[in-house]
Amino acid sequence: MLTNLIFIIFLPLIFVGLITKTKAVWAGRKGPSILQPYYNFFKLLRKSEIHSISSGIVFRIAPVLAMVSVFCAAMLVPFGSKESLVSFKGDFFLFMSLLALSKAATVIAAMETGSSFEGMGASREISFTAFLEPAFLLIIGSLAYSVGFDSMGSLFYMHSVNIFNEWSVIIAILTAMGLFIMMLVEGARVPFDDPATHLELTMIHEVMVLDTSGINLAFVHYSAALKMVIYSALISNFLIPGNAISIGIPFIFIGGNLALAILTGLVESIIPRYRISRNLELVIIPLSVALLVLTALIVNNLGGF
Amino acid sequence: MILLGIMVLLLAMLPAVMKRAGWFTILVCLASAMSFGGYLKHLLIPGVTLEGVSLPWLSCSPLAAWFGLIFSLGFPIGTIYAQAYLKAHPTKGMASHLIWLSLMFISMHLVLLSANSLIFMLSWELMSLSSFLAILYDRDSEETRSGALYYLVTMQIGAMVLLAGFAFLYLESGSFMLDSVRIGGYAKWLLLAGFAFKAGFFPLYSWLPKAHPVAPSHLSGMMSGLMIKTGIFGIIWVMLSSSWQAFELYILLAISLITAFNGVIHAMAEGHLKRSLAYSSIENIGIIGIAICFWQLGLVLNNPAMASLALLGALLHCLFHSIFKSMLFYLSGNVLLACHSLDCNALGGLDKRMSMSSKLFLGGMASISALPLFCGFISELVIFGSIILGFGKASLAQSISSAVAGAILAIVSALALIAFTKLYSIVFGGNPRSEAAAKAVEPGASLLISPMILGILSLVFGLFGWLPLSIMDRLLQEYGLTLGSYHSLVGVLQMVSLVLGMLLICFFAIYLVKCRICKTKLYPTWGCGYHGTTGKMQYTANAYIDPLSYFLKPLLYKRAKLDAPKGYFPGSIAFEEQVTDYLDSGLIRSSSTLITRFLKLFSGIHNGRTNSYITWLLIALIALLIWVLGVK
Repeated sequence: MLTNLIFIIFLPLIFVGLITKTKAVWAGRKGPSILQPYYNFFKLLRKSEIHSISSGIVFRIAPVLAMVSVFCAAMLVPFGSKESLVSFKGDFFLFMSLLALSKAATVIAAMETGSSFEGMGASREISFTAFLEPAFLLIIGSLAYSVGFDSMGSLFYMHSVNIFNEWSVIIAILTAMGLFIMMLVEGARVPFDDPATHLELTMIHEVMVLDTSGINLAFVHYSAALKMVIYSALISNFLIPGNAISIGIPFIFIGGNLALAILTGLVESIIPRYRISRNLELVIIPLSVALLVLTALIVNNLGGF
Repeated sequence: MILLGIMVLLLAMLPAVMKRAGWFTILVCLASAMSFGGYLKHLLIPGVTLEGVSLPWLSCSPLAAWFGLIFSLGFPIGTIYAQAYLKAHPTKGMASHLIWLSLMFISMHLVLLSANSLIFMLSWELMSLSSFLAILYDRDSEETRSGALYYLVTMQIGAMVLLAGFAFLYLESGSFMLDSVRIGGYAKWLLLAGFAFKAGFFPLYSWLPKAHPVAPSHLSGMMSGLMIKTGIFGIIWVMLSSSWQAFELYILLAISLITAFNGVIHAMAEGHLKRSLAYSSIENIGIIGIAICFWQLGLVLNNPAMASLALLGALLHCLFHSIFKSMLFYLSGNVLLACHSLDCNALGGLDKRMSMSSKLFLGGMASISALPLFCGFISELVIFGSIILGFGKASLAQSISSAVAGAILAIVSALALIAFTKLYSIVFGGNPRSEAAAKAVEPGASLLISPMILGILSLVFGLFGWLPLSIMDRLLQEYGLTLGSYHSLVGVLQMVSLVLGMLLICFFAIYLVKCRICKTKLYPTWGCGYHGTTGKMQYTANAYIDPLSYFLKPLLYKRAKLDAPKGYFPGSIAFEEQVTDYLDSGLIRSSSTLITRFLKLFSGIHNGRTNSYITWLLIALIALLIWVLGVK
């Protein structure tokens, strides 16, 4: 239980720091320390805020609401132990909706400022949900196909990789691929979005928070990082063997997460950014991957080829 | 108690004639309290007769009692809003409007209670007619008249189909009684189609986006929240009293999925506040339809857990939709009164001018897009649960249909989120886009009472989702569903409340601490280096949905008109875009032109000369004579 909480609180910013470090090393630079996101976080906490005069109630509460709801969503995911903090049958839908709540709050806050740039970002960001939600639901449904209706944690746990069963490897790889792309989209990373870009017209997530400052900005950064770590935690849970001793699980888990952070950094280094207008077409990839997962499970159940 | 309530509703016509809206409201509240108690008794205690007397043509099934509860909740709240709305927007037709309202309430109760197909058809027609006349409150406007007529014609076609269905039913069973009748063959399809007109299933929904925007706001709220539920009631009743094959249910599932998807993409693309809400009603009806299909599929495929969750989801969604949709319509009435416009692109910045309405709209928006904390989430959770239960090794077809339905439902709920974040942020967020919006003021506390009650209900049901389950327990038992999954469902919903409670506590703790320690300054929005921004430079409703509408291009027919800038010093520039419904502009208009053309062939007969009428009569008589003789 305690490991869950510690990982949820401390892992996200290290994850982002490691991505930046990987990119720097790949580019031949030294790069900032892995802990740099922490320094930024605490620096922002000490600052005062500027609110836009056009904004209303949602702008004021959105960063906190978004952070808290992503945090609650993270509680439904096993973080470094076999069980999540809270789990029940059908928690996947609460998970999806909590992420949707955080997204809705951020998007409305961006629209409330009345800035057309932020409107642009909001419109792009929310369009992605249309394809990510069904993809996630299909992945969950596919996993429920073979083991029945259960909580999200145990659905993933029951499908952990077993190297003696080729189907479990296929299913794990496909699901991990779908979730990895969802992580890149939700975390606003290259190739869908570039957090380091300097032109408002090409930003998605960053442009939505143009008017956010101070503590609110710190919360926004933390919740974006936490969202990525949630997906990488889901992927890492596949790698934990069913018979692992409980003391070893946190180590496997953290290893998986750090590997995914490095992978994300590598992806960002070698893949160029997609054209904005093509983005939405590419967000469909997780949906098709989810269909492949379902097909694989059905074929497996019918006795293979 | 129910019949007594209906009597009081009849009595309410008296103050209506005397234009005493206040007394009318009090009587409606009293009547609804009585009928609420009556329906609750019917739901909880088996075998109760109406008022202790057994009437052959009136009875109250548990299903009717559930819908009766929804109505008895919705009527008084709607009437309280209606009273304030009529006061703020008076026209000549006020007295008659109140009479039509009370007739509408009575007929809606009778539709639920009638156990005889003749009584049913009578009350069904009374409901359509009285609501048609009530829509005509603003009768001087051309748009209102055409919208209301469209509604009437559609309802009459629907009633004709229903009548044919009941006729077949009579031929089969030889009786007009409706309880414990088995419906088969043509009758069940005809009845389904007739009810689908009222409920607004694809492709019979076209009256909703026409009638709702022109009706006075309290009426659009009650029609959309309550009246279309009579269609759902009919469909559930047909499903209960007939037997279905799996493939037929898959067809119905496909229709429901199309309804939901088509409704939501139009709700998203529509720039008119009330029309967008009307399309979203179609979407919600589609969602209820999906749940109904999964309920029957669960029965056919012997998956009782899925069946009971799906039926529960459908009934809960009926209740919750009646709460949040009425609320949103009432609030759009407030916007209309304050700004005299419902075009999103002429509004904006209302959250600083109509602070309470905007906060309530935010709650309604969260509820309708199934965000946690509000009630829409609970029913969609139950429906998604039943869909996931459909995945399994037992039936491949069911797994695939679950996958398709689940994915489409997820797309639909995501698009609903987009549609309603759009509505909220364009109408209430940002800066005003027009003079009228800049001058808007909150229209009085009396117009906020009803939305506030509904908002509180929505929050309570969202936080304590298991509350209505205790009275639905017996309803499920009545229809032979096992309650094995019921208790685990209560557990699930309690866990949801736990998580949401934690969310709220964390949120308030962090937010209050932050407010205390953090200094804030107000400053204009950063214009990215550009000075002199105006309200018109903000993102518009069309721009907000552009990435998706580019994707949905084949499904959304848009007409755009661009007045491009000319020369070095362009004087004016204008852009207009309108989304039209394929169904409306294609199928319905062309078929109605064809029908008109066909009927015009006979218009020569109607020439106004008595002698020619006598000639037609004579010809008809002779023809009949020949026919009779020929047959003999």
